[in-house]
Parts: sequence; structure tokens; C-alpha cells
Amino acid sequence: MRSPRIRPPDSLPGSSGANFYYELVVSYRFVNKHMASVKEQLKPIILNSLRITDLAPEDLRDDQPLLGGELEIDSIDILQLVLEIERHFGIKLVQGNFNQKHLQSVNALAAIIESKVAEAKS
Amino acid sequence: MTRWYEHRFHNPTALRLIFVIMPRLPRFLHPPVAALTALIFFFILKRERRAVTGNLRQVSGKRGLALQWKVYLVFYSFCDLMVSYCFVPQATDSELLGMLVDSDGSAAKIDQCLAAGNGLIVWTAHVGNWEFASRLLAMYGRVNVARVVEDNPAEITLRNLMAHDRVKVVDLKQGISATIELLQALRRNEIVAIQGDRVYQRRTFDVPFFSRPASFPLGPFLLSQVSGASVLPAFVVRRGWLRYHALIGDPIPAVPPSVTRGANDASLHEAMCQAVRFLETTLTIYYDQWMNYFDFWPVAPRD
Repeated sequence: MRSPRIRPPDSLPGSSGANFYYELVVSYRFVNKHMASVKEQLKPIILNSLRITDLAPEDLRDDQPLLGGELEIDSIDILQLVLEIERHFGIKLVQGNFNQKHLQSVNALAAIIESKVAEAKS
Repeated sequence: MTRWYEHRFHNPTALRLIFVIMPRLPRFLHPPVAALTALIFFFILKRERRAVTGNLRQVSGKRGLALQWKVYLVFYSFCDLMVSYCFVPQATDSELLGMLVDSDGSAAKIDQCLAAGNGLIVWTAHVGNWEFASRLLAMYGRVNVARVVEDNPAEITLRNLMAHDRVKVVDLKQGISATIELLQALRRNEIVAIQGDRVYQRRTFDVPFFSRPASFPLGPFLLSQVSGASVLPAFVVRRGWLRYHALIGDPIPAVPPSVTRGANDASLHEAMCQAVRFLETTLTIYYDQWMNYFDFWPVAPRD
């Protein structure tokens, strides 16, 4: 997805609505960039922990289903995946509000990792 | 994958008979009634008797009448287990403790494991009275019993009977959501109890067990590795009619994750071997309380 172009702040009209728009776009770009980085780190972890050798990280789509799809993750795979993710990102992934929905796709998993990483930092 | 089955008398009518008759009989009549009932089922359930005979032959090395006597005692132990459903569910903590004999330092081991804050995985088996064991564990906090929940009427009856506010059954048929639930429970410093002598999923390790390789599930040890919870091998064995003794092994610390997969698998295998060795030690003495009515070791198919 192409990132939207951002106008410099001094070229924006002084209205609060425009400032809000600017902040929103900056936040979007930051999150998008950071998310991409989490996903890049996550994909090899998924392949490694599931012992998948015939796929490369770039073969995994962002919307690749983790459950019930080609990857066929089972209840033991999930432990190995959680172990690797927690070790790599230094977080406790399966805690609090974590549930099976967060394993629907690479995107969903990356999003919860992102929020747990942010939580850990704060 | 499951590798056991139920006999045809596991039904609500048979249970109702037990629950109506046994509590009304004076306690001194329980053992003779159980002895007679065990004898009847010993003769009726041929397939189960054959399987138990094969298992106990491997465990004890006995043959002939001596072996058949021990096989009969497995059926007798099962009667004790079934009658305990009349008393254990509604028993208070002090009544449960009153059914324990020779209580030793087992409480200290459980407290010590829970003090680390990572929860505790109790690795048990179909030995003695595991339902009684779950109620004992509930004295230490919430217990999550990981098992395959069967939906036949007899199982539903027993499950409803054993329902307790500190005992939660987690159905392993739920797959990933069950795994997540167990992991979250451990992270709340709760207890997870798993019967390690039945294979519920396809991931197993073969471990030497009474001189022959046998498959044991990997799940409890991986769960320990992820959560940091120790695995505590523990069994409650029968020491008289409705009298029990808790046998607690040494806690097996969580296997630290290793970067190399081979080293990791070797460490998990060793942890499993420690638990299986404790089961072996227990069964060396109490093999007539090991209630697995299927061929535990694979039997070569007949031509």
C-alpha cells in the first residue's frame, strides 16, 4: 500500500481540524512502518517454529490465515510459536486479552505483538 | 488421537445403581460388595481383561494365577473409584483430608512450586483415584483439569457430579483455544492437571517404560517450557477402602528454551523421562491400580 504524502506543518492552515489530519497521517505512517518491521521479523519465526522448510518468509502473505489454512497449526505448534515469539520480542504474548482471534492471520498476530511490545515499553 | 475405549456398562443406569445403593449400605459392606462386583466384571469384560493382563504382564513380569489375581485387583480398584463418586464430590476439605493416610511433605512441594509464580503442571496418570487428587489440589487454588471431554451420558453425569467452583475442566478437543486457556491459567499462577499416560494429540516422544518404548504426550512439557511452570509428577493411590495416599515426585523444572532444536528436543525428552520414571516407580508397587483397559504398548497385528 502506498503511504499518503504528508504536507509540512507550516504549510497547513492553522485550523485544529488540519492539525488533527496531519497528526493522524504521521501516526499512520509510523505505525505502518513499525508494523511492517514486526511482520518481517514474525514471518521467519512462524516458519522456523512450525518447522516449515519449503517456504520462504516472503511466501507468507500478510493476510495468510494461521488457523485452518495451509499452515495447519495445531495445539502443540501454537506452543512452539508462542515460545519463539515471546523470546524474540521479549513479551508475554498469551496473557490478559489474548485469544484465538489474534491468530487468525499474520496481520492479526503482528498487531497484537505490536500492542504487547508497546505495553511492555510503557 | 485416542487409544482407549469404554465398556458397555459405562452408562447412566449403572451409575444410578451405584449412587443409590452404595451410600445406603453400611461402610463395612462396601468391600465385599465391591469384591463381588469386580469378580463379575472381571469375567464379563473379556477384552478389557485381556488388555489389562497384557499391560500388567509387562509391568510386573508375573504369569499365571498371580497375574490374574492382580488383574482382578485392577477391577476392584475401579469399584473403589466408582464408589468414591458417592462421597468425594460433596466432601469438605477436612473430610477429604480425613480420607488421606500417611500424609507427608507433599503440601510443601506444591507450595514451593506455586511460590515461583509461574503456575504448576501436575502430571498424573490413571492410577488410584485421580478425581480425589483433583479435589485435593483444589485446596491450593484453582485447578484446570486438561482432558478430552466425552459427551456420552455417563461422562456427563460424572462431570456434573464432580463440578466444583475451584475445578475447571478444559476440553483438549478444543485444540488451540484449550492450549491458550491452559497457558493463561498458568500465567495466573493456577494449577493445570494432566493425565500423562494417554495420548490426546499426535505429538509424542517414545520413552523406555518397563523395558519397552511407549508413547507419552509432549504437550505438558512444552506447556511447562513456555510458561516456566514446573512439572510435578503426582498420583493418589488407594491404601484401603476409600483411603488414599498422595505420592508426589520431585518437581521437574521447566526446560529452558534452547536455540538449537536438537538440544531443545533432547531436554524435553529428558524431562519426560523423569516423569515417566516416577510413574514406573509407582507402578512397580501399585500396578494393580493402573486403570488402562486398552493395550498400552502397541500389539503386533495378527496375520
